[in-house]
Amino acid sequence: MRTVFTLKSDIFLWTNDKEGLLYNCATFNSLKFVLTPSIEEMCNYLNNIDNLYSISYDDNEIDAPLSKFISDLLSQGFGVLNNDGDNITSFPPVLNLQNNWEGVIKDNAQSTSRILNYLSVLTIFLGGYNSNNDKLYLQTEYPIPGGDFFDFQMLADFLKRITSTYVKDIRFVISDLVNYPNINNILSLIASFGHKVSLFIKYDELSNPTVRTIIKNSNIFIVVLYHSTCPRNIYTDCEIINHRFLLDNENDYSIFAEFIKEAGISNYNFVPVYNGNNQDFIINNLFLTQEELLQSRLTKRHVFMHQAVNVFSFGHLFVLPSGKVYSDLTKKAIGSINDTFHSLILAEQNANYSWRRTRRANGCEGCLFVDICPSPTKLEDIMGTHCICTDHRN
Amino acid sequence: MNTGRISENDIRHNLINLSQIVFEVTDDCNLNCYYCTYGDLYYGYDKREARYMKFRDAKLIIDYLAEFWRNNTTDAETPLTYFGFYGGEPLLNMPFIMEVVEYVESLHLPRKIEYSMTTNAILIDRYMSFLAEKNIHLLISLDGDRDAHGYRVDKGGRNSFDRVISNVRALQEKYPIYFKNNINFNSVLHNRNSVEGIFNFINNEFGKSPQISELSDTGIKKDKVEQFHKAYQSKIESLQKSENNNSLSDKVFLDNPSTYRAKIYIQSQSQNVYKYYDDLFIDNTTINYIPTGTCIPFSRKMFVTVNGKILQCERIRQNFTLGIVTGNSFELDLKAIAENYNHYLDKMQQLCSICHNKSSCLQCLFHIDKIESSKPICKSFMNKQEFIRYQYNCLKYIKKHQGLYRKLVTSIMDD
Repeated sequence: MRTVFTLKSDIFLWTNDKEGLLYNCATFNSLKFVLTPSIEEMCNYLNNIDNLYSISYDDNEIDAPLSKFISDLLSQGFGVLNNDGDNITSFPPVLNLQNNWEGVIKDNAQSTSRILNYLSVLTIFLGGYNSNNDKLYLQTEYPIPGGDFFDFQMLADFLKRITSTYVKDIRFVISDLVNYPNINNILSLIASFGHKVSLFIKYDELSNPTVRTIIKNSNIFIVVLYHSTCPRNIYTDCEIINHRFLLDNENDYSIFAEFIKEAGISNYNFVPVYNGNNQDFIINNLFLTQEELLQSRLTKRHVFMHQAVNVFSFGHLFVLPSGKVYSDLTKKAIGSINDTFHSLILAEQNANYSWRRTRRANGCEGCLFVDICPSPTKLEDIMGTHCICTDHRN
Repeated sequence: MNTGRISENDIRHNLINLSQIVFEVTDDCNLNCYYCTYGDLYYGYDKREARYMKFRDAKLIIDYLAEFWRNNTTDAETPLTYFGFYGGEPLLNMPFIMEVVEYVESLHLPRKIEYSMTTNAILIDRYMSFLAEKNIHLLISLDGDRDAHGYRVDKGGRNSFDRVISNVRALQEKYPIYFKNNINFNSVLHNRNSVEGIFNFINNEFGKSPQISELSDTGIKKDKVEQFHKAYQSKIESLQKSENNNSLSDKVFLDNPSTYRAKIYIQSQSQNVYKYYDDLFIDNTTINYIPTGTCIPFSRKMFVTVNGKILQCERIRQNFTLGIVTGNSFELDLKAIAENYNHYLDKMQQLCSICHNKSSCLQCLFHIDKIESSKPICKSFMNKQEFIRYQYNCLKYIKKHQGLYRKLVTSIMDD
């Protein structure tokens, strides 16, 4: 008897040369399976989108592994059976991005409105003397090494151009605030952006009451950065929206956790950072097993995001005190603050240093989990790895 | 943030980024087409009085927009705005068109400007050098061969085909590159022609694929309904009669109404279609729904009638005026426009909230019957059964046409 099997529209089906993976983005069930010749043939047929995720077969003509496979798919809710005449139709999940980059270029990017909306986060490193010579700023908001200051007039001219609403989050990173030239003018300029703005400053600097007074008078929300320090006091005289604890190891975690508990802090987050010597700590705490990847409860939209953009970096630009603008601080500058935002976005989209850098383009093509795995992060680049899957690495 | 209503700022944003302003340069016409939407079959438009738009009115609007454009940041670095000329027959008011083009050029606006015009081509022979010099995009009305073109008659009732075809051929011969790049055709489908006939004629004659539109079915006078139906032919009906239906359907792929319906269905129901990269970051389930499928004013264009009425589109009845320009005064109250628009939206909220097809709705508010009354009647409303039937038909159609889903999910779906 001829039967038609149809995979549901919420199912992603990925195969490589040995195995396959089904992922239900509505129920978050998954099934990893071994490809036999007959199962592989069926998967290839289903993955031809012209077949609308349906395959017709004769019950008597399929082999035992395929029969069991179909039975497993049915019992686990990945598909349904229907008679040939039924109107059960499934739409395989295929991302149709109407204005993908190739299309935008074809359509004359100069005239294409809307791409300015892509820019959502600006991190501006104001500079200032910073005794630490580390490169934490490549991984997270943290003062850059060196003693350069952002020229006030240059900064003012640049900020004037952020008049539209598309930039939703402007992060200023500063150090050596007491010695920063024109600091009151700068803070007053920054404060004019209201709730979009946050100022990132190291905990050690806050111990200086003058710094706290300057910040308090500016009415700017601040994010306090804790790293390699043993905090004793929480400063309640400034508007602290977040306490960010940068972790090199488990011991840091214990110290900070105790401080958080004692100080009664509720608005905090932990950010593990790579310092060149703590690879095991990073792998143990940030890298994922295949099982963990499958538990990430990704919807169809999330999977599409992983296919098309870098979830962590899309829309984010960085500005250094020199005035150079980057989409990825480890790559070449895409322009300077004298360029328009439109041309900076075009430059990033053309170079694709960051915003559309997906796991697939990061050397993971062929991995069954490529579209489930989180987008590539800076941390991996700095560690010199391109894979965060512990099973795969083993 | 989408709030289920629109704001003055939404309209301001659309004006800053306006992509098209269209002037109805005259309501006069040198033809007397049987099915003209400003003709005998229809109501809902200002009386045609052979009026000609004056440059001083257009200038007021252009100056207003120029100031807007100069003082505000646009979404694009170099936005593109079309200045369109519409009629009646726009070439009857060529001095106005020339003045507008000259004035716009003199302003050196901070954007790319192009010009476009819909014409019946009767007067093209007089003005082709200017049209070609300014690279004006022309949409020429031509319904097919001589018989097919039979409803497009002059004031004496004579078929305009010979004059049109001779002018179009002359344009092609004299300005071949301009013709290749800037000339397109629009054909109206009726009972004297067919999709296949139109397509073949224009393709064979000029190597172009025409836009084919059906007769407008809104605003028909009650006593003309029978006459309308006699002249009306749908694209589906015409395609079904065609000897070469499949290959033709393929050629007019997205123009086929069934394909269009399937496209809209996939766009709204499959969760596979996203417009821009940043849309991927938005969870649609958290967004409030704006009732109907109406465009927000000026999101697509601004249309200025010959009487100075400002509308959001030429297809909207002229009682839904957004502003007015007359003599020395120009009124465009953005706050009032938003309030008025929201007033109509509010009328639809309840009906839309129980409509099963609300996520695929394309219904324009201003085409809803009795929208000005307290109980508007929406022809696009679908109850559960109707939606199931619609869904069934879409799925059946997609399933029947192998490869259609692939085409749709790999194509540009915008109108």
